[in-house]
Amino acid sequence: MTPDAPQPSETPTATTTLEVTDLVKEYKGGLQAVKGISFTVHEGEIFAFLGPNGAGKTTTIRTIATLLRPTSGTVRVLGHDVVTEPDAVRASVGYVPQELALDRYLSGRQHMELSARLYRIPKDEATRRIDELLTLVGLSDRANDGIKKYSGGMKKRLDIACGLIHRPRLLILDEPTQGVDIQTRYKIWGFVANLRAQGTSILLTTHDMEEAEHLADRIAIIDHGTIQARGTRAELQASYGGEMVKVDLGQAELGDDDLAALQTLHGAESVERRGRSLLFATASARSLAPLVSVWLEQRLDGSPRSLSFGPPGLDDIFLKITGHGIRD
Amino acid sequence: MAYVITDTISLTRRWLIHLRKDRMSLTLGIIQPLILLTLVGPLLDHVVEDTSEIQAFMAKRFRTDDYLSFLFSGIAVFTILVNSILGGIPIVFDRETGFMDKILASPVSRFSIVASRFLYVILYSLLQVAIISVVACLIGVRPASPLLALVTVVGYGALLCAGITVLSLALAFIFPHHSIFFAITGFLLSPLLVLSPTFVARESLPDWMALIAGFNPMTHAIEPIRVAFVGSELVPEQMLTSAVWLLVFDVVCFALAVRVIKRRLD
Repeated sequence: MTPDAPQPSETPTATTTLEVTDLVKEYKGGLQAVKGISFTVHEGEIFAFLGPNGAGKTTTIRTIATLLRPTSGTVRVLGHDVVTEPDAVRASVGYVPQELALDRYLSGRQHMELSARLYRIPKDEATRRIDELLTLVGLSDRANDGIKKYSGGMKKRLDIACGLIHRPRLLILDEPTQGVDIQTRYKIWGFVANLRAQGTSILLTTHDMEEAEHLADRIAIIDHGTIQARGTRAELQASYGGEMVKVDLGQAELGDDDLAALQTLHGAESVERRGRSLLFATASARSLAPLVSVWLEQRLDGSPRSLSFGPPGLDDIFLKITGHGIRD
Repeated sequence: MAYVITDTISLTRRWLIHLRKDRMSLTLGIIQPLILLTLVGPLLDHVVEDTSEIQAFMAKRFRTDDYLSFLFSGIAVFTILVNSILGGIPIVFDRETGFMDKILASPVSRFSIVASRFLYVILYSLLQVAIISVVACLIGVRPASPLLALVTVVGYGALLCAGITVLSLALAFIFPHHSIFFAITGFLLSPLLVLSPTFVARESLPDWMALIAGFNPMTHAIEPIRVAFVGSELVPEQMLTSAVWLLVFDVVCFALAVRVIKRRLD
């Protein structure tokens, strides 16, 4: 899988909710945070932006949410352009920022009521939706409490509920589970999966590999303002070389000549050193693993500390594509 | 247009919830100017009553021997000034916390975001001054013309409040952090207070200070209100001049602020 620019554009279809074409965002001072990215998100799809801090994820979603103007390129939500028809876009998009964006003087219900008024939902309908959403996020019994009394997880759930009040066709979640406990994390994953089942398109940013693996239908790996690769998890794994063999070398040292020799083993598509480990990309890990094991036993006068094989995880794919770990 | 009105009402309700939940700020905002009035006013009033020479001097310099009533107009206007100049703070906090992004990501009218805060600050300031006025009357302030006092406090107070508030809102959209906002507004408050007829009549200021005070919007709010409280001889033409001066000030402030805010919100 190659960086975004050489890839053929995705063709929008009748079910396309979001269409981003050659988006560039340059800030004052010349910093180009997003460098010509293109992607689409379809109805009922969860599309995850996976990348480290500063990769351009938040700039991209803030542009989609009409909070930033693109320097060039186009962004369309349900066919509406973010620059020329911002209100139509805003009415279709729910935006939940990374930081908890709540008003410390308002109760949970007052937050929901304010959100309903911002989206001009008639009062009776708003009351019905607020009750429904508060139940969904498990805050019905605490709805009238001030948010000062809420835990971090409760605040995050409330924030997401506020973003859903107008039943958006596209929900944008910026790092939805950052800083929340495990229980809340699973609850949020549950809401997101339910929303997808109801046909809502979801664009989420994350630097949590497990979150992307667990939730996303398609993943875009973004780094330095460009999409380095995108596809389903299976497609990304295929781009890696299908499977991987991972060897823990312990204290053993291997030189560049050793790596070159390992590269020639039958079935090894690539080999790289990561810390104290060696990673092999291969079409068949089951065939390559015994060869690697034997070679290392001879070279190291003993077995390596551990050897595992199977399909690569997203972190392995990320490392191979970007050349660094997500938190480097 | 209908949306602008309903959006403004919706967002103003949020500020009213703040007022209800944060009664401490309102209470302290009322007590603080009253402390100034009850401490400084009687202090000088006492000096005036004790010494006939000083009384004559005060009458000449302050144009009244009822310094408490004289001082009240300055303190009332200063209270409005403080409320107005700090009126943009919640907007700064909204920008800092990301709450503003949530509002801006919705289709709510951009005009209403600013208008709701603007209306709230004006209503809050006038409410605060009204309460202070009632308490001030209970502790000895005697307006020479109660009806004129009411009209001038509301009218000139609102004119001053409008221009300063809209500038404060523009600053709130320029500066991303509350520390910078507080530094700038704090820096402005002292000279505005001293270079005004808050404590002494403009004629009693040194010439250069009186000249600068003529360009201080506080001056043009204090002097007409003072007429109503101490009954001095400020002529209607001068009251009208002050009103026109404040109107021009407001127009300039609005023109500047609209330019800044529009650029930030579009």
